[in-house]
Amino acid sequence: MRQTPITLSDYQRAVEGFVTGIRRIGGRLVSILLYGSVARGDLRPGHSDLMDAYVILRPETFEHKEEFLSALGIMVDSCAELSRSGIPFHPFHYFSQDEINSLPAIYLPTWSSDKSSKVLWGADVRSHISSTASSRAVAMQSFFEARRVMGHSLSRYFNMPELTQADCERIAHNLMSLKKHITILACLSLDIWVEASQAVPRLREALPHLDMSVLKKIDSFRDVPAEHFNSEDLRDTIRTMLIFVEELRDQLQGLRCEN
Amino acid sequence: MGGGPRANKYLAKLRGKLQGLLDRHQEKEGVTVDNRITEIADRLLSATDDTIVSLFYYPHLIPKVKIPYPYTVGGFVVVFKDEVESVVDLILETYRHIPPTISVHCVRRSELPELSLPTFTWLDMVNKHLHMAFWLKHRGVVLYGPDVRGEIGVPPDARTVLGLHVEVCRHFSRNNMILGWLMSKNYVELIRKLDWQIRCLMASALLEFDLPDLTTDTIPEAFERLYQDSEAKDVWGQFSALANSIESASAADESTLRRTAFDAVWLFERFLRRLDLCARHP
Repeated sequence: MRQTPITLSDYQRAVEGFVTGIRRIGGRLVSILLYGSVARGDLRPGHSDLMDAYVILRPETFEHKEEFLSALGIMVDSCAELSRSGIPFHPFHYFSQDEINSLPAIYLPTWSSDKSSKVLWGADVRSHISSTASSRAVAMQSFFEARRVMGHSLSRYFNMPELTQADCERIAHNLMSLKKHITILACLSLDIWVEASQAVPRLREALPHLDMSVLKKIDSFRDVPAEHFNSEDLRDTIRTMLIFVEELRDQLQGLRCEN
Repeated sequence: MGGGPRANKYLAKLRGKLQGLLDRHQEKEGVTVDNRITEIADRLLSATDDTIVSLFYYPHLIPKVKIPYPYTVGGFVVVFKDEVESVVDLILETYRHIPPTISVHCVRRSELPELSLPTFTWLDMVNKHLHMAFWLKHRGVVLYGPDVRGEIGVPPDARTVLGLHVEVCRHFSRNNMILGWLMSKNYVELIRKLDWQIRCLMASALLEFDLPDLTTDTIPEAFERLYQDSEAKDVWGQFSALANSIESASAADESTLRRTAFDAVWLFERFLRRLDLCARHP
């Protein structure tokens, strides 16, 4: 259990160690790319996750069992190393180089932009990253299911008779996640391809009459210590957010029909 | 919101219909089906008065052996009238009556076509919802109101669904499932999960054959029989043998389990690449 606060230097050391570890893959490694808050330089020590990264491997790695297993072993070791750093951590992505022309369209704005991603090591393949036409079509429609799956399902918390501290933390987390994803997906549904940090301003431009005040409220949860969450306030925010999402849906559908 | 006369009129009929559905399902699948569905629908209809146009249920398919995951959790589709005053309050009320283990989709009638739209979402969500429009068509039951399933729309063609499934799988299975579980030495669970995921992918590949009664147990046999790609079938054969060897081994040491899990990932990746090729170049 870590006793000292996590600092920016801890993140830098962890990223450097990660690059050193992954480079053991050798000639099969094409590049290591970083995205998210660490790449943008706006991380919050102790809160921001590692490791929003993707490791690109040569296609032959996926054709030869021994080569693949060797690379896999190195990536697993790197994950174990990162998890020991004490920094919030989730495993990274890996792809074959011949897959980067068919990555999920929803992530293209984030992965291919200089502002939200950077090359940690190797070739800068970002200009080669693309998606299939059907992936782009799906990205433009995903708002509608996300609204039900991520949005409506918050109703379960709304109806819980008593909320524990852990429930409150989950609700705040889910609201922040819903805010992040639903605004990106709403932009995509209007054929506006943006990364997370630009989604709300772009949506505001596209839908100037939509009341977005609940999004600011949800942002404020980031700085609330877990023990200070107020159950009624969270319930009220769930309901307000659902109203916002339904209104957003109606306005998007209106614009899509016009176009 | 109280019980309306229209809703009450249907409740008796509903109970009989649901019980018939559950009995048939139980007989077919050889599993015990929870008959709480009747009570849930009953409570939901009473609480939402006459705001509901239709209520569908699609069944919960549980594999008989080995794999501890359902192919789909199944669930309810609640169709509200377009002119309802506050759909959010109805959604909140609906979720109050349906336990978290059962999926629920709330739409207004004019939103029914949205149920057939494919989506990019997390892997467990995609496995649950990618085929929902097909399940509603083949196994869904109208519990209340008119059968408006024809308004759901046509799902995308089977190859598009397969391509999307492969894309989501590649994106979400490699980081959290494969690297995460290998890191935490969760080897047996990883192999089971990969086994289940391959079956879900097979089910997407089989959509083009429009089979109404697939379960996680019958998918591999149908895949073997109908799917044309011999390499994909060969890889599945190897994976299946490996997964069975782990299930039948009473106690394997950690290094054996680790080696087997790594081999399973290798076969999974080969299967994924093969299906990707099939989806893109039929």
